[in-house]
Amino acid sequence: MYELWAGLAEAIAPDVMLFVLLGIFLGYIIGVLPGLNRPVALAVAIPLSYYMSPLSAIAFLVGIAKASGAGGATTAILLNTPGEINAAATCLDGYPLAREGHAKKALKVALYASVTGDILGTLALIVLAQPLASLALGVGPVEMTAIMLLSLTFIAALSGRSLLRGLAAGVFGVFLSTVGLDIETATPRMTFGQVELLDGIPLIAITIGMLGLTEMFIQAQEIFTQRREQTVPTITPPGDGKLTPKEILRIAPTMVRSSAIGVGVGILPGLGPSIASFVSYAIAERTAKLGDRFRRGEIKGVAAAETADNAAVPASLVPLFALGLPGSVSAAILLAAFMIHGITPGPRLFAEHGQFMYAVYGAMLVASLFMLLVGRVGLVAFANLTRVPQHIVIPIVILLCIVGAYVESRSLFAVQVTVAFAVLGYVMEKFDYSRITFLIGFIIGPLLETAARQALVITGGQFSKLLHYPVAMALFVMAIGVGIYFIRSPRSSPVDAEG
Amino acid sequence: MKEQLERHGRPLKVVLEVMCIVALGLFVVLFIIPRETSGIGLGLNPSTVPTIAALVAAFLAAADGASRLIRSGPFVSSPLRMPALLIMSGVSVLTVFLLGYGGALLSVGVTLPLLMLILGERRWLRVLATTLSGVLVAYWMFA
Repeated sequence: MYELWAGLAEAIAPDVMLFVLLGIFLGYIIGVLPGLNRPVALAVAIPLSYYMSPLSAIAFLVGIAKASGAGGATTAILLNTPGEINAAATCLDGYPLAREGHAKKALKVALYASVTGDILGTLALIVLAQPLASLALGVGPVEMTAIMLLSLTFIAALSGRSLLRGLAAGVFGVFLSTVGLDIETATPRMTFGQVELLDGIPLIAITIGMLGLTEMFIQAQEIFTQRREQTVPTITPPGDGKLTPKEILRIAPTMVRSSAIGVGVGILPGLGPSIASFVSYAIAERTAKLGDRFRRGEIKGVAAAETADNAAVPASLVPLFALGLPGSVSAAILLAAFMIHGITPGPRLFAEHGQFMYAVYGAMLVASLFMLLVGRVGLVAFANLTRVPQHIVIPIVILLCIVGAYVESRSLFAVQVTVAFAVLGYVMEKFDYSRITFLIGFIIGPLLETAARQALVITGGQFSKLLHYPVAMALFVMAIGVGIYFIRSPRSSPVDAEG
Repeated sequence: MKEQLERHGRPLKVVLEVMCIVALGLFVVLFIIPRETSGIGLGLNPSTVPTIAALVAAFLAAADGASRLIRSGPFVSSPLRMPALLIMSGVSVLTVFLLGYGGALLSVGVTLPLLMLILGERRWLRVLATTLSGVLVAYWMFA
């Protein structure tokens, strides 16, 4: 109990609150700016968090992750162009509402729905993560290996058009994670005599390169081919913004149901906010009452999409906190941030850093309140950011990526790695190999290797001994089942399983 | 006619893609890993996991290529083009070079306006204001 109160007290310390506020503010701006999304924002912000205390850093990054989702709704409503893919479902009703002169009302609904989803998602995280971590303490290396393989298969299946290519990317990530000192014998592996590689390929450099820089290269490519940035978008005027208590009561059940959907989808590895928002919207539409105007300007539609989107973000942290497994790319970046500050998420997280985790929870709830405050005050001001052209945004983000990679280590090596992985990321994107699965494979690589090695020792390398581990066997069978299912039914387009 | 050409051309691209990946995988397994890893005779050989990972990655990529050929698709043509990559990575390399030899301020001061010009910005006041802001932020970050 002492840890709980001490942790919550830490969360409301002025410096922590300041960084939460800063994160929320930056998150909103990034969410609204065209071409930027949550993973890019987190990748660019990681080096900035390097100089902060562990709690301030995590609070800052969590603030960005939360608010960028909420900010993405602004362009969806005003321009019919989601600032983030997660907000695509918001366009369906948000834009028609704006066209009818109710843009401000739609923005308000999106804000309140985002905050509601976020708070309920955070509460679900608080309730579920610690018990799951306690359960996971009894999980041995054989089961852990099986869990990681199942997660990787799920993520690979959902983050691209082909499961096989997704898995190839993930395993390639695992391969590159073996660069550096061997975990058992401490002998160098594939370091090519470079001292900088003894600790492995720098994670931050890879994250910034693969997510931030590659994304900007792709955006630049779009400008080269379309020159679409030359026209400044015309945004719909805010119009009527009055939201009556009756309307709030009308959307309340939708928000509660969508929060549950967001939490359920968010917890599963590989599924992300974009899937949550579409599932939630589809269910809301299917359960529509007489008089509801779905796809023609229905506030319930905006509420359904935004609530689920924002509930999925904290929920995706459940497997990260409890098992040390990032279920989404944002969770993977947060895992990197935890590790930079000497904290390893996983089953022992709450036992070893209980007070810190309560402080993180406290900071997340504070972030939810700041989201409401900043979003409400800046409702119209943020909308004006949609006018910022991409040929200003892209150069700034590219330089932030490169300078950020340099600031983190003060070494040109890290910057060179960043650029090299940006090029690799672009090539992977061109050939449809998922960068997200690669990154998650790279991050869980050392955990997977450790667990697999321990499992080999325990089983003596005999396959038949796996039969003594029914849970692991069930998970292996599930992984194979997922694999077969997705190979037999390839998708025509990726689901963008991240967020 | 165009469709026919694409039908013939795309599988060839897939075959080339698979051949490159398999060749790279074999090169890593046969040359790089043996040369760059050394065991001390204790526990699992340090080269085991990277070797398995490299083989599995190459196998999966090859299997994907084979499945696409058998199913005659999907041959998705990526909108991404190499010239854009060359331009953007070239500017990034220039940024790194200037960062190493002239520091962050010079690096930002040169490449920020260059990138804006490349991306189509022609309003000098905007270029100047953005560059100045960028240099100030870089100064703040490094000071």
